[in-house]
Amino acid sequence: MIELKNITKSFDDKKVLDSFSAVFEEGGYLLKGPSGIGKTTCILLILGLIKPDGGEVSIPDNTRFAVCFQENRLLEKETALTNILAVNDNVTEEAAKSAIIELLPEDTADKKAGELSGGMKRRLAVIRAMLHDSDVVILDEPFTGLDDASREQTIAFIRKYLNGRLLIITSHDERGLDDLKIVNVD
Amino acid sequence: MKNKRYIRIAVIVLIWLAIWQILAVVINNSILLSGPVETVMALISLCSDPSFFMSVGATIGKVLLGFLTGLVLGTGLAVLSYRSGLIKDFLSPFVSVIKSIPIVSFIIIALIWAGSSNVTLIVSSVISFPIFYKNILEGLSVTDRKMLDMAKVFQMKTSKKIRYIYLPSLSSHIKSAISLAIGMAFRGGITAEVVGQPLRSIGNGLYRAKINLATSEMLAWTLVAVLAAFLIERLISFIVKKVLK
Repeated sequence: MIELKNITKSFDDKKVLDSFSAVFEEGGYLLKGPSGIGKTTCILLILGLIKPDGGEVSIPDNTRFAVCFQENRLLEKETALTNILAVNDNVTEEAAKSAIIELLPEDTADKKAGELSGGMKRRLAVIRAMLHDSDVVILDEPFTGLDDASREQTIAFIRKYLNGRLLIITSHDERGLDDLKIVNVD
Repeated sequence: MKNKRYIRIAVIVLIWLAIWQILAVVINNSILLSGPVETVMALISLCSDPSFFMSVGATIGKVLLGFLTGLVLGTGLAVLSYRSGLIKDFLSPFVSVIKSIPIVSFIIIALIWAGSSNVTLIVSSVISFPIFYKNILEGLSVTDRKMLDMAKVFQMKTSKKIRYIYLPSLSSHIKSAISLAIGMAFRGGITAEVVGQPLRSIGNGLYRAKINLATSEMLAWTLVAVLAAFLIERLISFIVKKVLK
């Protein structure tokens, strides 16, 4: 169980989170709220990449995360295939290629990440996260830049590869995510 | 396009050689300035002596060893400084002092401590060390924090982190450090040889040419030193380019 208790966080004197609390147990959660409200801040707090000014982030020891960052954070000079294999030691080349084909054109595996379009990079970041051996999957705005068809395809892909792990998604668009428990960030 | 560039470089080199020859003809005193033809003749004459190649080989070997020592020490300590602010602060005055001490002071200290046969190696390494330290530390400091966070979350292996995140970030810093350090190591190393007079060395050859007022021979030794530094720098840059590819 992941718990955020009375979290306060400011950046440059601008308060982003004020006494925010949330609990993530099993299943899927949708962190909802308008842009700039603090959804990504919550994600970074859970990942331990930033510290709260006040309150407490409680995460079980040895929790392994997989994440699709808002800014992709891909190895731009490496191929799509290398991007997946570089962080997934247990994934074979065949498995990575077959996952890529599910969301991206067949020849994408050998293309450099920097040469892909914004939407393709987004899907590659989702594939990388979903294939990672983890306890929790966090996807920060995974559908940005995707058209409706790609969005549906990506949601199906996420469901297929989730395998019962705890899922936390941030999005301002709930379409296709009705079964997720909603956590409002405000 | 490439051929055109080579032709341009060749023409520029020929113009400079012509300027050198014209100056030598105008001065008309081979002790003050020997022309390129005399210098090449002196070089051919030097090449007929087997000890010439031993001297060149010994200097190149010692400078290279000193350069590699500086590279290993500079890189190792830069990594430690990157990981620990305390080590960085501790080393900061040491590196600043090394950078500002005149080369000739190092040469004298090295001569007293280690004798003339080791002076080239010591001076080359002392000159190379701060160049690698500063460049590698700067490269590490500007490594994309967000990519390092990504690697941390995904528990990326250290070897992969080095290959995919650190090396691309360090690449330009490593290349410029090598280019700068190899030239400086050769200059410092040969200066040390001129002062320390180790047997069979380029510096010793330069010194002997100077006391014999054999300017053409001195320029021939200088030409050898310049060519050696240029070729070694090219060779190392080629290897680094292949490794970082």
